[in-house]
Amino acid sequence: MIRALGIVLLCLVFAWEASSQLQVTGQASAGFVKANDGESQYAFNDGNGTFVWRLDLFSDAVVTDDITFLSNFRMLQDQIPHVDLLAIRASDIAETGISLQAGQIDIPFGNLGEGRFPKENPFFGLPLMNEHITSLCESDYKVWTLNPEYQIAGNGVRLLDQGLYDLGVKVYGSIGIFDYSVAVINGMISTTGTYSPNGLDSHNGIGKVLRLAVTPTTGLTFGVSYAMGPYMKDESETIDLSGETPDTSAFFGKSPDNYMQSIVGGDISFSLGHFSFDGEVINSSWQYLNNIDLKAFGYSVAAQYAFTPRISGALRAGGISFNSVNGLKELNQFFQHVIYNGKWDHDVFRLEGAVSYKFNPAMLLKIGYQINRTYDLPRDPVDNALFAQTVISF
Amino acid sequence: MKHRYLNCRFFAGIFFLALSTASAQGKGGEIKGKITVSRDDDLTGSIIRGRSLHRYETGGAKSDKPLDPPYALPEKAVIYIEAVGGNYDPPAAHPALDQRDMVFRPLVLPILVGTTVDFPNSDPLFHNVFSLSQAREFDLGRYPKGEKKSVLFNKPGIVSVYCEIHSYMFATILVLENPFFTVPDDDGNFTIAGIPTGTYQLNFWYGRKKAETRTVTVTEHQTTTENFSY
Repeated sequence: MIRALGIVLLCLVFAWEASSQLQVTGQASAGFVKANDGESQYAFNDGNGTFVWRLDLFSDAVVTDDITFLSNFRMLQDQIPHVDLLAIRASDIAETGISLQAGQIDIPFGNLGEGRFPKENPFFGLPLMNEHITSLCESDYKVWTLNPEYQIAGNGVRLLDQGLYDLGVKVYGSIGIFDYSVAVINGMISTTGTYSPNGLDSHNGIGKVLRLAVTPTTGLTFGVSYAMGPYMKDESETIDLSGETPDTSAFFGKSPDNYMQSIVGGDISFSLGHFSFDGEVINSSWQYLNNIDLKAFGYSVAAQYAFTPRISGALRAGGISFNSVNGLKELNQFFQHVIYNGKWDHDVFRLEGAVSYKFNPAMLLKIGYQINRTYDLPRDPVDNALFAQTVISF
Repeated sequence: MKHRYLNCRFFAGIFFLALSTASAQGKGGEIKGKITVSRDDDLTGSIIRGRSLHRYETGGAKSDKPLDPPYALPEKAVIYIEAVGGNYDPPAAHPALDQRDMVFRPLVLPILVGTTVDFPNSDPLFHNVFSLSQAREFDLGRYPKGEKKSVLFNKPGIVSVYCEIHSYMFATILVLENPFFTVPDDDGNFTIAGIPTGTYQLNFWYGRKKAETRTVTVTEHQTTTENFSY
């Protein structure tokens, strides 16, 4: 059904494009990924080497000089359509220098920018802190640290929810060397609208996001981002999982709206000549039961250098460390209540290297390797991965 | 004001006209004509829309502003002749392909083979000019506003120029084997003088592509009129 809707949507988009001011551009990529088959969430496709593909369509319209419509449509090999961005943009409103986006917007947090897309991203995936799935399970908001099934495979929320899109409104602009963005969104940084099946706000309360950046000289930008808001769904207050487990949701009978995620981040982007560097650090805190705060610190640094007009190389390192908690009431794999003391997820580290070759300005080939480390386990899962991906833009 | 981006280009054009006139004093013929444009080329529209729709920009980017002034005809059109024999010295002056208001200006730049082109950055953010064309492959990297880099074009051909950061930015450099080329004025009028007598291919380039090619015969002391429409 979803696939059929996606195809219908695609047809509509192209039909519209043919007869209106809508402009469709995009990127398409095809690749091959082979990971080691260790017990890990990073063991892509359980370690089975597989071909993959991805399509990004940008369907946009310039309505007037100041009003534009922007949309990003994404589909992977699972053929499930994702509408990431669907926003109306009003630029320089009343010549105040203030612009606005409303709809499904890109959340102004961090400096991921166009690195969301395969052509601009020299690697196969996003930074580790946009991908790692923590042990804080969003279906019932339990922390599944003790259950190996969840512990290894990952079944929880991310620190930064992948591409960071959500329904909301964003006001932004520039004053001299300063850029600012203020946004209110349905979800939160870790649990964006993608966690809400019907697209509507899944709880009382909104997420508030603020970003400030300064560009003291061309090519050097420092940014700070902050976001706060409820991260759980209202249903976690009433959900009864007794049919599956001897317990209900961790937040059964409580108001999840009183439990906030707050997250602060800093980033730097530097480029000069043929070299570019991007770095980002974040510190996230999820308020949890019994006055426990689940915290995580994540970082990502990436450098890229163009050796020739056609050949570039890139390196990226990223890691996440989690805090220790005391007195966490939890279920083990036998669904027995235990009190857990210790880190609520395993620290992780990833190092990636990639080389890309431009066949022409619209087509490139990337080949890279990813080394993953998970700490505090009896044995670090063997989950390194090799990828090759070709991307065209149109 | 309207021609602020075209100064270097006009100087180059004047130089070549002077050169051709001097080299064919009292001999050769000329081609005159007028270009009439009744529709915009797809490329220009695509660039302007792409510029408006660029995402995720910070640092004082002004890509969501209308292009002011819009591309003028002399920035988009070139008339040139192929297969004229002889050797011609390239100019000492460097024509410029500017990066301003998030586009390249002009959209098409004709030069004589052996010419060095300057690529100034007039925007308060980085661009990264590059080309993978057979006639000239280069990557200038990123440099700030007020600086420029230069590239020598010593092989004739069509050079497609892009920006690594802003994928909608595009321009063409026509590296030509002889100086018998020109750009029209704002009204579309053009003249190429001092052309040696003979029969040639006269080309009309508009936007991203060669719009039309005609066979023309140039006669001593005669003016041949060729009008083009698009």
